[in-house]
Amino acid sequence: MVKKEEQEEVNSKRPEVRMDDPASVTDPLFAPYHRTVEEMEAMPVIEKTMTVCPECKLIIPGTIYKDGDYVMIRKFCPEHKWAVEKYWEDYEMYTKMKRYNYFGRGLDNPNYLGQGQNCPFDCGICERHHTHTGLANVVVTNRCHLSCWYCFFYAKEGEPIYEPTTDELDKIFRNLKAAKPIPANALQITGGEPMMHPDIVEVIRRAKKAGFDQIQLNTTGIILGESPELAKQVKEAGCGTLYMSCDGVSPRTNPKNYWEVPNAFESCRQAKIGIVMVPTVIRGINNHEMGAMINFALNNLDVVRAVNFQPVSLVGRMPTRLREKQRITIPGAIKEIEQQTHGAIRKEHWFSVPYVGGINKFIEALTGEYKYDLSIHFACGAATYLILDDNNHIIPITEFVDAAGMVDALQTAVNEMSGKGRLARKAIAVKTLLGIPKFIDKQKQPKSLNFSKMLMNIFLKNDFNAMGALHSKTLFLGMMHFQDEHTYDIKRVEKCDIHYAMPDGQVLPFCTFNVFPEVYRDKIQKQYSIPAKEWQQTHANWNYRADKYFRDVKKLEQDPRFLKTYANMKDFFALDINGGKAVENFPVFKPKPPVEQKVVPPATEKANAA
Amino acid sequence: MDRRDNQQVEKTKELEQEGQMKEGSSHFITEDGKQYRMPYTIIKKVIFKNLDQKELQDIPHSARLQYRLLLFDAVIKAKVDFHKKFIRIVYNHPEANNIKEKISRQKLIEFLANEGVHVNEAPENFEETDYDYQKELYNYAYFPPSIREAPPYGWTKEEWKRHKEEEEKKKYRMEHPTMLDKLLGLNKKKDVKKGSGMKLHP
Repeated sequence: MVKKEEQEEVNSKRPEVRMDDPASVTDPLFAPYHRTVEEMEAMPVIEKTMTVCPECKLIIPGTIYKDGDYVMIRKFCPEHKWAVEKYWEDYEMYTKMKRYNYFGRGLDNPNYLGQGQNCPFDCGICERHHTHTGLANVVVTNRCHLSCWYCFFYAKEGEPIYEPTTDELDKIFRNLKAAKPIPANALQITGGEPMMHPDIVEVIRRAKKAGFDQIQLNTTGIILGESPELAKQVKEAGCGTLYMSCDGVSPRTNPKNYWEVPNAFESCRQAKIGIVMVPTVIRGINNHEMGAMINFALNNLDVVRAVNFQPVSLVGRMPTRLREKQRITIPGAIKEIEQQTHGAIRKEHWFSVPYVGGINKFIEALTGEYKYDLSIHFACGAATYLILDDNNHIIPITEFVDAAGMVDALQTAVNEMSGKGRLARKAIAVKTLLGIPKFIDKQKQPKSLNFSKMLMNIFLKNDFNAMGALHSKTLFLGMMHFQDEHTYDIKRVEKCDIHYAMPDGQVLPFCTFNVFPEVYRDKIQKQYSIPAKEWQQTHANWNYRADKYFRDVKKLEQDPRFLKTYANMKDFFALDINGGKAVENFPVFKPKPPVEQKVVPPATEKANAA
Repeated sequence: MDRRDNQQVEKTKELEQEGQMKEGSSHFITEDGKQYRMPYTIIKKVIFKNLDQKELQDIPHSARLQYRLLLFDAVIKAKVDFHKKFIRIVYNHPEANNIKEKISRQKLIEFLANEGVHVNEAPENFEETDYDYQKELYNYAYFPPSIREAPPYGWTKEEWKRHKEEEEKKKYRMEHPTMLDKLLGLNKKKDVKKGSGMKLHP
């Protein structure tokens, strides 16, 4: 057996990808990358925007244009010439999603004084930003027990340690809650591995005390899987959701935590913590298992609330051909799901995140108060709900709700309510809501659900508990595509509502924080870090390798939780009611022979005793 | 795992006092009895003014120059303003009392010259002052003042500007009713007609 000191750190090796594949030159998937300038310029232009040169970061105009089914972005830097990238892999979906785009409200008290003239290098957040903080990310440590080859978030050996104290984190939380006019209300505690912060339970408690209603932990789930008791403490402290990285349903696609996911599920079951599975989707690496991941989530619907796919953000330098091969965008991922589930979940079932704004605006008009907004750019995210009926029928919500028609009706009502008094507004709202059932197909609606009644409760009584019933029978499917230098669109970043709160008090949109880490994330964290040498002096017995997790695969594979999770998995898509076709790449479980117990011969036993 | 809270802070200070750690990062500020790490105290702010706009080229090139300045660890904030023809740099100068990376003004000037922007240190084109990191950057970010006021739901900015005083008086009277108000029922919440309203998906 390999000694612990000699074991390789988990997930630290980059998988080999063939770069000489001749198919990639002729594959239509790559054709838009290899047009001549004249061909590109002849394509229909959809929109102009501002972007950055991936090489030198010069702010340059970008042209979003249609190339067949694809929506592409091209840009020209005087020094580095043309750069072309896929923006969205489906023009039809692009136009459908775009109609829900709208502008939200920025902050009245931005944390940085500036007008954003040099955006995105004036960030902090400035007065130019169009949204309030929808989800606040706070990094509580940059130590991590894994060493993922693609990750830049954790401290490598000898690098400074960033780990604010509970008081410092408390100050960051209060800063987020002081934002005007709408303070942050959802918090994601992240890292590194946040569970490595020695006071993590207290940190969560402080966040709850600061007033965050929704607290998530962005974790591998490994530490909580090992300690159900700690999971209970985390829940009691106020964290209701685990935002858990989980890149696939096989050891090959999910080397990060394939063996530990079952333990995390079990701990969360016991602690009553909901799980959001978060697969980062990379074409050619794990995109073939997207349908299987949804099926995996459906198998664990008692604890899994959502699967939030993140098409990869290819930040940093990498060979052009590799980038083209691995690029996948939201519609590309949605099409993969459609194909792998044989049409059970189709592209028309998805809506962009700002779609919710239509419902939100209706509630605002009805109550006469601004509400928490989701006015991000339409190209940043998409979502749908799946409902698993009593007879295991998978029903996407838009199968029985005419979502587009409903939000149009709500929009008409908002316009009617404009400038009217409260009673008049309420009367219009009631009239509109009485018309809602016509957007719901009762024949197709799951028997266990009364959707129009639920909406009535939400709209008229502001009773969001009804949503709880929806969540318990449903699986939320989300897509969130963070930008990189190649896809960068300043119009998107101006509307970003996923923000990072920094130790120096500034707040940054996700796609400036992570796309330009050299001037934001790494720079500011380094300022507030402790040099590795000092950390070692102040933390007896600490060393880099002592932080690392080393797995015992054999032991984990014999664990009843592992067998329960993987051995008895059902293929919901193969059921007749769901089309009867097996989901692609359904993981076939091959049980491993039990570890042999060494039987000590009696003679030796006697000798040992002697 | 050990409970730590602010033990790190105390331990660093202790080691420094005992002389076991020469250059600890133990500069902290205290607010309400709690300690917060502060990487810088007094650093420098330099402003190069009256620059040649041709050298700055345009806004995108100015923004890239700003980005390039920010790549220096010792440059904490930078602003290159194309229209107003100035460069403002907040930097950690060599004499600053901290263990972080440092850079001299001369190095910055050389860097700018390499980037094609020539600054000069004549009094009318140059200004350097002490910069209190805590007061000017940190405290601003943690306690930012309101720079504008979003009108309440339903009001446009112009409408709110006109009616704000009147509405606030009403609100105050609702919250602090006189005996007469109470007798007349003026303190009861009324259905106040709002402004012209906000449009969805503008």
